[in-house]
This record gives sequence, C-alpha cells and structure tokens, in this order.
Amino acid sequence: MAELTRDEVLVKISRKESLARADLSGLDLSGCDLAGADFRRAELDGTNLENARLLRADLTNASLREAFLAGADLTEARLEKADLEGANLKRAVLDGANLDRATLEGATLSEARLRGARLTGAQLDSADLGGANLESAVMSHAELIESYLGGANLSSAQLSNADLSSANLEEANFSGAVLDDAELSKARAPGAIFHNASMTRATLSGAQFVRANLVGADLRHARLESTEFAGAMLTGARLFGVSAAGVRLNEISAEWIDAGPDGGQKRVPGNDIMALLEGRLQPSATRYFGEGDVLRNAALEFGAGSSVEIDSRFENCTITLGDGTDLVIGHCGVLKDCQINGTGNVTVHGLFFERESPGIVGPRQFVVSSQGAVVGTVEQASQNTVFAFEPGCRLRMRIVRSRSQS
Amino acid sequence: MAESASGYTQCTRCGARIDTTARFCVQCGAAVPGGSVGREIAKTQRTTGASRGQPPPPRSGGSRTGNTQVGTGRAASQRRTLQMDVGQALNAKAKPAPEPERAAASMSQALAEVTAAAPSPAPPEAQAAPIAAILDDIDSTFDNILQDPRKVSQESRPDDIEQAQALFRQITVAYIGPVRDFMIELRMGEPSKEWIQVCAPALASLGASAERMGLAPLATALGELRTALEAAEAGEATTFNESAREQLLAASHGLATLLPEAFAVDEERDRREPIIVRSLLCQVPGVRKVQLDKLYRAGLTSLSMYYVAKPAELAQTTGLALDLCEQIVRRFTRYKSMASIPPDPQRSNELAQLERLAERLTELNDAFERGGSAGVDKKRARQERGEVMLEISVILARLGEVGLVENLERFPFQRKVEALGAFIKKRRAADQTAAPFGTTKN
Repeated sequence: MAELTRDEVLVKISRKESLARADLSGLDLSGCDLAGADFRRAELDGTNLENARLLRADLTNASLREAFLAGADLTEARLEKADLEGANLKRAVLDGANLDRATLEGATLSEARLRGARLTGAQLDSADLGGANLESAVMSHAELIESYLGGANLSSAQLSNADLSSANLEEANFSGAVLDDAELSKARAPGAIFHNASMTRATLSGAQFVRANLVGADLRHARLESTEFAGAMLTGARLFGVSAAGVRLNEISAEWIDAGPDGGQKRVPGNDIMALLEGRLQPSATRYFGEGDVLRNAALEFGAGSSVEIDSRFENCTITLGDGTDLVIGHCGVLKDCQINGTGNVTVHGLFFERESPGIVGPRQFVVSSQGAVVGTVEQASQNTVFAFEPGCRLRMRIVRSRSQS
Repeated sequence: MAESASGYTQCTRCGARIDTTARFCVQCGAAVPGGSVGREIAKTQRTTGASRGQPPPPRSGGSRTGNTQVGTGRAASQRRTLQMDVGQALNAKAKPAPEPERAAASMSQALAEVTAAAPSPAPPEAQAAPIAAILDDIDSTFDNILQDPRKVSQESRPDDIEQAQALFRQITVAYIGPVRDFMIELRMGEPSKEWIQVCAPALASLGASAERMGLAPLATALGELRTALEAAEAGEATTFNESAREQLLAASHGLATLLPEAFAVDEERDRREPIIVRSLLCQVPGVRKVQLDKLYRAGLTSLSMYYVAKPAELAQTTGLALDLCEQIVRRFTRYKSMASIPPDPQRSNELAQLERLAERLTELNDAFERGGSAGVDKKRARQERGEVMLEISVILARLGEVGLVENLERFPFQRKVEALGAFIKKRRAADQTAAPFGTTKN
C-alpha cells in the first residue's frame, strides 16, 4: 500500500524532495511531470505511470514490477538494476536511458523507443519488443531468451555475447549490428535483415533464417549446424571457419561469398557456395603458417585457387603459386632470401627480401600494405601485373617487364 | 449543460438547444444537472446503466439556484416533484425486490409497479406535509400521463409532457439492452435468427407503451423494426442474410434519430469491435505484432471481413503464410458460431464464462506468484495468464465493458483479478434487482 497520495507525491516533486525508498506501489501517477525525480530504491509495483514525464529521473534499483508505463517519457532515465518484471512500457520513450542489469522479464516494450539505450546484462527473457526502436542500443550480455523482437529496429546495436536463443526475430533489422559470440540457437528470424552485421563465433544452431538478408554479414567461425537458410540472401557473407553440418540452403541467393580467412578475402562464386557451406568444399585450400615457426631451404608449391597466409619466418625458400592462388605475407611474416614464382595474387603486410633478382616472378597482382616492406625485383606477368602500394609501405624495389614480352 | 443569458441552454450529450427550466433534454432525454432532482435522476441512471453495462451520465454537482428563480408557482412545483418522485421510484426499483415477481408487461405498468412498490422515505416532521402534498401531486400527474395522454394534455403544460416523454425515452434506453446488442451484432456479423425471440417481444411492449405516451413517431419506428425483424424470420437460413441485414439496418434508421442512445450503435460497435478483433487474432499462435500490422495494413479490421475471408485470399492480400491464414479463419469461424447464438437478457452465459476465466486467472496468478520455488514454470504461467486475459477481453467487449477492458490493462494481475471479481458480483446483483423490460425475472 502506498504511503503517499498522488498529491503528496506531486508536492514533494515540486519541492524537489527525494522520493528514494518511498512506497508508491499501486498509486496513480499517470500524466504527472516527474522529470529528474529521485526514486532510487522506491517501491513502484503496479503503479500507473501512463504518459508520465520521467525524463532523467533516477530509478536506480527501484521496484517497478507490473507498473504501467505506457507512453511514459523516460529519456535518459537511470534504471540500472531496476526491477521491471511484467511492466508495460508500450510506446514508452527510453532513448539514452540506462537499464544496465535491469530486470525486464516478461515486460512489454512493443513500439518503445530505446535509441542508444544501455541494456548491458539486462534480463529480457520473454519480453515483448515487437516494433521497438533499439537503434545503437548497447545490449552486450543481455538475456533475451524467448523474447519477441518482431519488426524491431536493432541497426548498429551492440549485442555481443547476448543470449537470443529461441527468440523471435521475424523481420527485425540488425543492419550493422554486432552479434559476436552471441547465442542465437533455435532463434527464428524469417525475413530479418543482418546486412553487414558482425556475427563472428555466434551460435546459430537450429536457427531459422528463412528469407533473411545476410548480405555482407560476417559469420566467420560461426556455428551453423542445422541452420535453415532457405531463400536467404548471402552475397558477400563471410563464412570462413564456419561449422555447418546439416545446414539447409534451399533457394539461397548469393552471387559470391567471402571464404577468406581473418584479414583476407577469398571470393567463392556461385555453385561453390553450396559446396563450401555443406562441407564439400573445405576452406582447407587455405594454408596458414603461424607466428613463431621457421622454415628454411624449402620449396613449396600451392595449387590453383588455393590460399596461403604466412606469419612465420621463411629463409632461403622457393614458393611456387598456381593460377589465382592468394599468398598473404601477414604482419608477422618474414620471407628472407626467398623467391616467389607463378601467376598468383601476392599481398605483403610483412617483410620480403629476395635471394636473387628477380625475387618475385610473374604475379598477377602485387599489393604492399602500409605495414609492408619489399626489397627486391618484381618481374611482371606476361599480361602485366596489377600493382597497389599503400602509403607508408617501404619499398626498395625494381619492376621489370616479363621475360616473355622482352 | 451550458446555460446562456437568453434562457436557453445546450445539452452536453447531444448539443440540442433546451429551455433552462427543463430538467431533461427533449432530444436525447439526458438529465439536466442540478439540485436534489438531478441527483435522484443520476442515481436512477447509474442503477439502470449498470444493469445494462452502460456508463453512468456525468453527475451533477451542487444545487441549481437558477431553478428556484425561474420555476415558480404550481406548475414549476409540479414539474420538480414529478421528477423527484420518478427518481425515488426508480431508485427504489434498484433495491432487491421483496419477493420474486413477474416483470412489467409494459413500460407504463413497470412505472406504475415501481411507483407503488417504492417506500417513501420518512421525511423530517417539518417537511412532511408539503412532501406528502407533492407526492399526491406527482401520483396523479404521472397516472394521467401514463393512462390517458389526452387528459394530460388538457391539464398539464406541454413541457410537462415533453419531460415525461423524455423520461420515458431514458427508461427505454435502459431497457432496450438486448435489442441494442442485437443491432451491434447485426453490424458486426450475421447473428442467429433466434435473436428475434429475444427482441420482438421487447419491441412490441415498448411500441405499445410509446403509443400510450403519445410518442407516435417512436411507436411507429419501433413497429417498423419489429415488422422487419419478423419478416426476416421467413426462410430456412438460421442467420440473417445480407438482404435481411440491410432491411433491418434501414428499419432502424428512424430509431437511431429518435433514440440515439439506444440505436445509434455505430460508435459503440467501433469501441467493441477492435478489441474483439485484436483479441481473437492474438489468440492464434503465430500472430504477433508483425502479423497484426500486415493484417491491419490490408484493411482487415472488422469481424465481417474475417467471416467471409478465404485463407488463400488472406495469404495473398497480406503476405502471411497460408497455414497461419487458415488458423485465423478457423478462429473467426469458431467465434462467429459462438456469437450468433443470442444471449439471454441477463447475459448469464457470458457471466458464467467470465467467472470461470476469472477463477482460472486467479489460479494462474497464484501459481506465477509462487514461482520456481513451487516447481511452477513461470514462463508458461505468464503465457497462459496472457491467453486468459485475451478471452476475458473478448467477453467484456461483447458485454459493452470497453472501459473495463482498458482499465484492466493498466492494473497488475492481482488487481485485475479483484476488479473482475467485483465486476461480476456487481453485475449479478444488478441482474437480480432489475430484469430487463419485457422479460421475466429469475
């Protein structure tokens, strides 16, 4: 039972008195101007705050179970660790509000505005966020199990490590959102938009992404076991290192996908996408030589279409590339007294020193990044090599025509 | 009512221009607030309104000093006492009857019965004589109005008759509940022809009373609707077909003008129907905000649309999955068959159903509150609670309790349970004390 009446509350507010720890449960404060009020640890269970103005109010640790906050203005309000279980926040405005570690289990937030709101570690299990605007909201580690996010706008939202298992994400917009390490198993996302979303290491096992837009989505190392992608758009999606046993890909639309490793790009066209996701085309064509290893006096040959990344130290080695093979000398990679032959694509982030001139013979494409350094001669391919040098790269390099041309 | 210096005032309900001396709006029958008379009338309206699920009119506050200045002499005194007595009589009717009795067969009989049954409150000794005289006055005047309007017209001022007729309209509104519900159902779908058995006797009785009250246009309009209703009974179909619907709606146009509170039902339908449609849709698994938006965007907002919709057409129009559309159509078909059954005047079936649902809600809420410690699946309990509330909303909307539906949404569940319990109790009590016109009390 409330210890104050509505009028007494308003008098206290007008006098700028604190209402911290006050018992206001069940009170009708609808339409009241409570902007900036101090309600820390206050009891507001079942309170009617419909259309109330709670702009920048401090509701830290307050209990608002089953409170009616429809249409309330809670812009930039502080609701850290507040208990809003079963509360009704339909069409409430919570832009910039802080709801870190708040409990919103079973709460109704349909069509609420939460742009830029903080919900880190918030409990939103079974919450109704249908049509809510969560643009740029920070929801890392939030629990959204069995929640409803149908038609919600989560573009550029931060959802890393969030738990969205069994959530309904139909037609939600996750464009540019960060869902790294997020749990999305058994989530249903028909028609949802994940354009350019980052979903690395996310778990999507058993989830449904029917007709979803995953163009440019980064799904590297994601778990896609038994994931349903029927009718999904996957052009440009990054799928390096995914585990995709039992994945379903009927009628997907993808001109190409990026099967390249971290920091690299490897376009896999048309029909190969199916083979790659279904495990028939393993990205095992990529060879990686990790940091700390040393390889001396070796002759290495990589077939056409394969991909090689070197972060090791190679000394006195000869590397032969097949047609279209990608060779990336990583940031930690050092090739000393080495020679590279063949019509591959060479990208240098590390260091290359030739053994004898020309140290690099016939590459189709030769790129040196801002971190890269090359000392040697490049003999162009018969159809002229494409060169690209980022500002800051260090070069002591000579370019000569192909011997076949000369 | 906004009074003006010209001696006229405006009715707050219908906006009609009325004399400041009048106690009732001659257009819509709304009480003019003020003084003890106004309060008595307000009591009457609340009682009858509750029994029919109508919201009470605005209460008058304070006394109207202007009345005592304007109304002087015997005629003014008679007008005032007439209204006072009717108010007392109707108020007395709201109290439990001493023994079961048959409802009045006509409005005049009803009024006569309640007037006779009304125990006069013991007035203070100083006022006993004048009040006794006033009561005698009112008895004779009212008997005249009811039994022989021509006699009244010779002996009473025209505004007395107008006010009595206005009062008659007001009482009619309260008693016409089943017919009003039928007209709303008719606008929302295809009700069963069994409604005729409920509505025809009420229309006949009201028509006869209206005629005796000198309200010929109203009597004619009631007769027309009754005739249309009985004409629609022909044929093998168990529900009103499209042409019958149109004829009935056309026949009710006159009544909508003469008795707008009872027959201008479009506004009331517009309040009830969205709640029913939304609640029914939300009961279909898989219908959430996204699906609701698609259905509403396609203009599918009324019950009649869902009654005639084919799943394939629905799927094509909205872009929803065919199996979901099939479920939606099935849900509305089920509702239609339930809604086509005419309710008894007391709506006892709906109240019984409401009672069951309130009990279920209590159980679920208790289980939810006990929570995980008692091995209760809170998520399941929460979901079921929501489903029960949707069913409750449909029934309350059908009963015309739209305000209660809106209030319940604002309450926490424990208060929802309490408010529902209070409503059912009040409704049951009202039904016991006031049987609708033309029906038999249980």
